[in-house]
Amino acid sequence: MDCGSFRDHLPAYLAGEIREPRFGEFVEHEAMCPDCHRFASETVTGPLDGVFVESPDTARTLGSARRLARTQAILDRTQGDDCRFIQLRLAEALDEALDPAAHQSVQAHVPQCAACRSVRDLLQDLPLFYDALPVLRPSRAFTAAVLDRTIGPRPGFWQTVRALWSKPESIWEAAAACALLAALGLTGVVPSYEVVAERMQGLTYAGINGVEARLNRQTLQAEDRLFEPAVGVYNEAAAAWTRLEEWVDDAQAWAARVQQDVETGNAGALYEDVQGVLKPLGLGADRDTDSQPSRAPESESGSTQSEDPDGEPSSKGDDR
Amino acid sequence: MKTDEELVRLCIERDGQAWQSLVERHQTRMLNLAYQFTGNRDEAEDLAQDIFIRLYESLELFQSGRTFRTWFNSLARNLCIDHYRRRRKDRALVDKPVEEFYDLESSSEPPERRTENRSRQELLLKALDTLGATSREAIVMKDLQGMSHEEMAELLAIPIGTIKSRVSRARVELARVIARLEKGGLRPQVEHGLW
Repeated sequence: MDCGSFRDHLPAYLAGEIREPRFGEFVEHEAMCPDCHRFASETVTGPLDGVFVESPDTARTLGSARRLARTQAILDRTQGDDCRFIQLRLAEALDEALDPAAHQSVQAHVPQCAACRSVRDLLQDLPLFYDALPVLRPSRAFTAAVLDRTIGPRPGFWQTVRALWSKPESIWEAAAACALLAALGLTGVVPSYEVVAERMQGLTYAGINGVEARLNRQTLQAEDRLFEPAVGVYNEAAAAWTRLEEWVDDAQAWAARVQQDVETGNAGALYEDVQGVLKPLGLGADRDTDSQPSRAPESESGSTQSEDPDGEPSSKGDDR
Repeated sequence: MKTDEELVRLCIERDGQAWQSLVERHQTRMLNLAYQFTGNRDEAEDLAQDIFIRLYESLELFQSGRTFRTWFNSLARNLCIDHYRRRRKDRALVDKPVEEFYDLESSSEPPERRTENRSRQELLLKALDTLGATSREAIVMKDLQGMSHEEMAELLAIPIGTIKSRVSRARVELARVIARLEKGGLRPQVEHGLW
């Protein structure tokens, strides 16, 4: 805040009409700027002496009372017993000792003010709250992420070896690691090269076979999916061809019967055969006795015919 | 052991090992600083990574003769404040079980002590979330990071008297919010800090 802003809003500030946090800015500025502090004090009242003098005149009494209240407001704001002021002094006391005047104000006020006692206790307990916060430790993933996002891929193996070799303590670490490996190798805890190679070979073959089997399976599945539409069409065509063959067979059998009827002169059978074709088409004639042809005599082929008294010809022995 | 300034000089010369050393030296402090601003571990890790990336990109701007730690703190502070102001409304409070955060030492505490600490942690994080950016910064830098008034004044380029005033006001505000939370168990009214 600059002095111009402070003085522009001085009346509201002195009347206590400015709320936090803006009020805090005014208090800070007044505390740090002697000129503005003097200006604020002189603007409201004259010298403090005489403010407290009572006057028999009502107007003067009221004026004095107003001046007294405003003076008290200034004092409360910066030097007085306002709780806000006291609590700020209590917070400052966590870092360093208060000056004697502030210390005296606090000592006089706090025992009589429950709100300030509560804030005092909480301020003293703040370190316990701070200690309750966890101390985070960065994981290796965090460090790796930072390095990846900045310098990119981690240094190569030989770079790392060179860097480690430059540290004198790394020589002893490397020697200790080699000694440990040698001890493990000699005692057989670490398998020999041949054993490891054999196991690796077995794992490799198993891996290759597994991959091959999986590839074959996937290939077959892909082929099935690829040819599935064609297979469907083929099956439908095959079914249609079968039905056609059956129809041709039926037609051939019918033709053979008709031929036989003609050869044998079996008009009744011939009529039935023809009706058998025409009726499904809706072309067959209705059956009545007058329209029925006369029965042909029994042919030499052996087909017999008997006449139904109602005129319904029937034939026996035909190959229908 | 190389100083921070020597490591920075090597980093400018593209020494990857120097950069890794610099990161490992400051990552714990930065991660906890980010956590004290965000109150959330995942968010803190992201913010801390961003801080280091900004540091890496700004290494050549570091002027020899200055203190690296102060310069780095200023850079980190700016990012934390920006993040806090940007995310304040949308930030969720600690959403992971608090047990996940305890380090090895605290896991050996008696259960009642752990419960008490958990309660205080939740209260503190809730109260910190109600503070304005400047108030939270004052609490984090002075009380949680342990900086002195002089360091803060140099970092923020403001008078020591203003620093002391800000810290005092932030502490009183924090204490009042904690008291309100303890008393009513209600969601605290957002009481803006200094600004």
